[in-house]
Amino acid sequence: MILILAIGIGVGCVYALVAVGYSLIYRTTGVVNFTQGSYVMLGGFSTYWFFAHARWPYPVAILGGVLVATGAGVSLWTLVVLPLWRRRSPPFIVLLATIVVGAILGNVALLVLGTTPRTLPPWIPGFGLQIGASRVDGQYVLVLAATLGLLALFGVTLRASTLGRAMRACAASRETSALLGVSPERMGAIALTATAAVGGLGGAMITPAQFTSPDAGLAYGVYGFVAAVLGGFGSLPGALAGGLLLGLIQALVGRYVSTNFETVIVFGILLVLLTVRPQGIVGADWEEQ
Amino acid sequence: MESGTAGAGDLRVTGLTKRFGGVVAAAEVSLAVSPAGVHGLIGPNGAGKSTILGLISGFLRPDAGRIEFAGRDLARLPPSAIARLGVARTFQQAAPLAGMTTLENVMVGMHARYRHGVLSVLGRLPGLRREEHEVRRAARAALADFGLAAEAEADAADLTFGKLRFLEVARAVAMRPRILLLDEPAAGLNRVETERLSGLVRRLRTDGVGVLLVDHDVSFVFSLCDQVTVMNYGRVIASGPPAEIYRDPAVREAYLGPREPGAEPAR
Amino acid sequence: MRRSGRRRVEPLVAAVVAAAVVAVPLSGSGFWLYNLTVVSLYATPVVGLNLLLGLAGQVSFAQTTFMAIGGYGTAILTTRFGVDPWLAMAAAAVLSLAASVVVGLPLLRLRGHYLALATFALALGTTSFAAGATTLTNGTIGISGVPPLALGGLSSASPVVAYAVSWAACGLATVASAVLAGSHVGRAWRALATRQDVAATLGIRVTRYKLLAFAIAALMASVAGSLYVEFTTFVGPDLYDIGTVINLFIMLFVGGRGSVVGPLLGSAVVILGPQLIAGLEQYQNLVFFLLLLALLLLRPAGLLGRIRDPAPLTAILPVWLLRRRLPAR
Repeated sequence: MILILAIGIGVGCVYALVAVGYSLIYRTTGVVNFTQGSYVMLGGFSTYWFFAHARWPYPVAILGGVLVATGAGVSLWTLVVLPLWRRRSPPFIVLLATIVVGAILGNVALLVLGTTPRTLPPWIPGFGLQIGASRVDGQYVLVLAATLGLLALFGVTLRASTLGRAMRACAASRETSALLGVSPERMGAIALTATAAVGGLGGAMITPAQFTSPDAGLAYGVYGFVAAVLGGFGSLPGALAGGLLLGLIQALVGRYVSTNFETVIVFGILLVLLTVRPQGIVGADWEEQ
Repeated sequence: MESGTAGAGDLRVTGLTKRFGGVVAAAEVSLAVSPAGVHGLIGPNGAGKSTILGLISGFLRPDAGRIEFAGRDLARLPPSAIARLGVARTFQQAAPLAGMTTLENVMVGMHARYRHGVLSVLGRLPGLRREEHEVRRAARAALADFGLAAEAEADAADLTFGKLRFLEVARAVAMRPRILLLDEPAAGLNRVETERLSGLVRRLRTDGVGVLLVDHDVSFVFSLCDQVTVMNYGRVIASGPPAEIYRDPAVREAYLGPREPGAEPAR
Repeated sequence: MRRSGRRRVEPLVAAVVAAAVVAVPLSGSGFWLYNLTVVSLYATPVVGLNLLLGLAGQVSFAQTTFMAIGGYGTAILTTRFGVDPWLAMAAAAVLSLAASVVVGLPLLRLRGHYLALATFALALGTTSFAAGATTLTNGTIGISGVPPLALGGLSSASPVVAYAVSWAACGLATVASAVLAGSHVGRAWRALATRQDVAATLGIRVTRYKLLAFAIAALMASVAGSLYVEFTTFVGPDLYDIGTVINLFIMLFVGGRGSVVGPLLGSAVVILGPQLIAGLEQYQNLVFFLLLLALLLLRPAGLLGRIRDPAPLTAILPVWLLRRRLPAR
């Protein structure tokens, strides 16, 4: 039982990081970015490649992994979203484009490393937590700690710093912020870079505990999105709540009910939630008007 | 102070109250709009005029009070049902249906005239063909009346400001309403356009339509209306014929006073 | 003027498509016969989606749900209960219509992103349900041995018959969609898609019209789903997975939303595109996606669609670069 909870929380944290990415980018740019999940996959996979193939020292490999994910995020911004933005494309086209990019990234990973799921060595070898009769993989603890730390950092930055204020201004109104000298394009770039980096880090952290495969990007993208909506799209604490809740539900249902119906139940819950309380647990309304 | 003569075709608002959180947007507001009558509703910004229009047209639910028309209480009905009973409205911010032509905008206003539905469309029934033809003809005539004939095939969102306002009214009138709620139709119009609008409102009166006219242009309102209700801070502070309102000291102080010199009617 | 230019392109494209559709079976090419059948069977749900999204402005990812009802309904009724395939298809269609109303009533109260997400959840839930409810659907193994349709003396086991039936269905759907779009029903849809509040004040029963569009789209999806299963004699949950969901939207947007022939074109691009670069083998998917991305970037409105006031291609360049190129005034 403890182990199930640990897995649920661990995976849930990654969902939370992805969810934060969605919310942050949406609030700053109005774009729903479906490549969020791919950054997690890229982080895990590139770290593996640097470590196992390029034979870099483990910490450097991890850094490399995060940088690859960040690079992918920046490229997405400059090469895809910005041109579409500047041509005043309908938001749905931007969404579709991010989905296609996600597919491209997954494909590239597939071509480079093949379909075998990969794993990584734990960050702190031998680290584990003894709770009752079970021994919990220390990696999960690290993931939880890192997630909480990162989210706190995001929260503080958004509330207290000038950059944070600029981003919140952008989220409130793009045109007005532009008139006030805040560049929405730059804010978007910063948001995307930050969330890609965080996603990549999440991927590097969770891979030692779980396997990562090329199509994990899609799964993380979808579940991260669900988590964001569960918690209240656009809200940071909501992303955490939604992510953890989703991770736990998945783990518990998978273990105690049936792996067959796990996804059905998750989506069923989402469906009911949307009809009854679309603003999610924490409740932020994300309709643009 | 009830206004107008009681009649069966009246739209009668009684004791209408609406609160938004702690703010009382409308309190115990009563008025009546009679067919072939023009009833003005004026007041400073924030007086609650738009709230009243929103309540009557079904976009807001009242906390208390009744809105009676055609033997029904409109307060419980959704906007489309209220529209189908014969109460049409325009919007304060011109709301053209973008992506559709000016002609199509007016034709949408005539939607309720169609007796045929989806199956008739798919079956290409001749009865529908006749209806469509008739609606198109009537819509073109309406455009001509409102001075929009030249823009019939243009995208409605490309119209100039003045023409947009006329389209708003044309579209609402296309519904052949019994009661028409006009939300600041003269806002931003120049002298010539305002004159033209006045003529159109007088035509409506002759056609037996009851008009509730909300506007800031007091001379415009006074020249057209047989009854005027003045609101301030959500309450009715005066109601009666324009000449009485003009002399009412409470009204002068609240609205026609020295703080708004531009509002003095040109007499 | 640009707008009339586009209007002249569409009928031309339609004529070319019609000519190609007629010519292919005469050419006897098995490859093209099969693939164009598939194209038409995917184009039909996209025609429905075009009506629901392009016309009535409701973002719904649930077309695959109704395709699944059509496909699985037909398979289960024919293989397990021996029902005649045509009857099974009709029964599945009725079930889809009923389901669309039951599901649509609560869901269509949602707007924009919420509606999109709810229908997305429905679509993905359908796939997992199909994979998980093994007693009903045979799970991931799927149901095979679906009997072919009989048409007089002809059977849909023959590729030409299958081709003809699917294109007949697709053609019917396209024509119906075009006729509705040009009618007062189409205007009502466009009105509620643009400004729902204004549409309501004009007396349009918004919920009823939304449901109507939803149901029509569901019907088209169901029939296409049934036919596909009939012609391939097999149904499985992978047919309706997230890839299909996304594919339908790519088809819609590549072809151009709101255009009559757009869905056909989009379906052709997405189905035939990868085939044409099949020589690249493992790079096939990647190249296809890259080309798709390029198309989205260069023509955001799709091949036949229109955007109001599109910005020129040079707008992609950053402002400081553009400023240097502007002549001094």
